[in-house]
Amino acid sequence: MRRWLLLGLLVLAGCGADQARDGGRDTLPGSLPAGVTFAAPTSTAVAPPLELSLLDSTPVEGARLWKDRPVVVFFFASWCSRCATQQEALAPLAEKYRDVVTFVGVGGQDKAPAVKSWLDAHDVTYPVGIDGGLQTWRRYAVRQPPAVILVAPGGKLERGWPGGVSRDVLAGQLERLVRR
Amino acid sequence: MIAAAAALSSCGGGASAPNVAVVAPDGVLRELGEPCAGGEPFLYAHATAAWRVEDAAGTVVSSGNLPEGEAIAAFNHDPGVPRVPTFCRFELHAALSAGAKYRLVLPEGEPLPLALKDGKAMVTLG
Repeated sequence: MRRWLLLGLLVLAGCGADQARDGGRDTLPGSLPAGVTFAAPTSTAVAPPLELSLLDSTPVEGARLWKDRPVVVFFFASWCSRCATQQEALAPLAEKYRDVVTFVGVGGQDKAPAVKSWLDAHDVTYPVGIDGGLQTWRRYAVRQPPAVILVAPGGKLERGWPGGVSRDVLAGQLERLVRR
Repeated sequence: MIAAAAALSSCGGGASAPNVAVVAPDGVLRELGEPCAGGEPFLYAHATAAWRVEDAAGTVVSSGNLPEGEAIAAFNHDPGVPRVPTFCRFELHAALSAGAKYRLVLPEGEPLPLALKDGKAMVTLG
C-alpha cells in the first residue's frame, strides 16, 4: 500500500513537472520572480513591432512580452535542419531563465501540424506562432531561418544573429542582462 | 527488363547522381558550403519541398522532395570574411533525355524551363 502511494506521488509529481509543448497560452511566462533586475540595454535601436497569434490562437504582442523582461525571438521553420541545432542551444537557456527571460518562436513558411510535431520532437516549451505573411520576419530582416533576436527589457533591440547563435554567446548576453 | 530497372532507378529522383542544379539567387550572407534553404523571396525552396519535372506534354517524368541546399558563392570575389554573399544550390536527379524540353515545378513560382546540356541542367529561380 505504501509502495503504491509512493508510486502515485511520483507519477503525480512527474505530471506536474511536465511542461506544455504546444506553443500555446500555457507556455507563456509567469510573473517575474522577486529580486530579479536587469542591466541597462547597450542599444538605442527600438525593436520592430511583434504581433503574433500563438498556435492555440492566443494573441501576443511583443511590447507586452518585453515590457519587464528580456525576450529571445527565434525565427525558425520545421523544415530547417539548422533550426533543430539552434533549438538544442536554446532549450537549456529557456529552462534556466524560465519566467525571467521570455523565449518566443516565430515560424514562417510553415503549417501548424508540421510545427506542432516539430515542437514536440525538439523539446520546445515556450510560446510559438506562425508568421504566415512573413510580416514579422521582414520587420526583423530575417531572410532565412534560423535567426535569433535578443530584445532588452523595455524594447530595445539588443542583438541579432542571422544564421543563429551559439549557446555560449547567448548565455553570455543573458548573464550580462540578468541580475538575480 | 532493362527499361523497368531504369524506370525504377529514377523513381523518387533521389537514388541516382544529381544532374539538375536548382539555384535560389537570394544573396544571403552565409559561410560557403553550409546547408541552406532559399532565403527570401525563395523561402519555398527548402528541404522536403516537393518538386516535379514535366515534359512538353505535361507528363510528370520525375518527382521528389528537395534535399538540403548548399551555399555557393554569389560573386567571384573573396572579401576575406567568413560570411559572404551566397546563393543556395539544390542538387537533384531527374530522368531527362538530351534534346528534350522540360519544366521544373516547385510549390510556388512559375514553372521553369529545363533542358540538359552536356548531361547536366541548371535552373535559376526567378
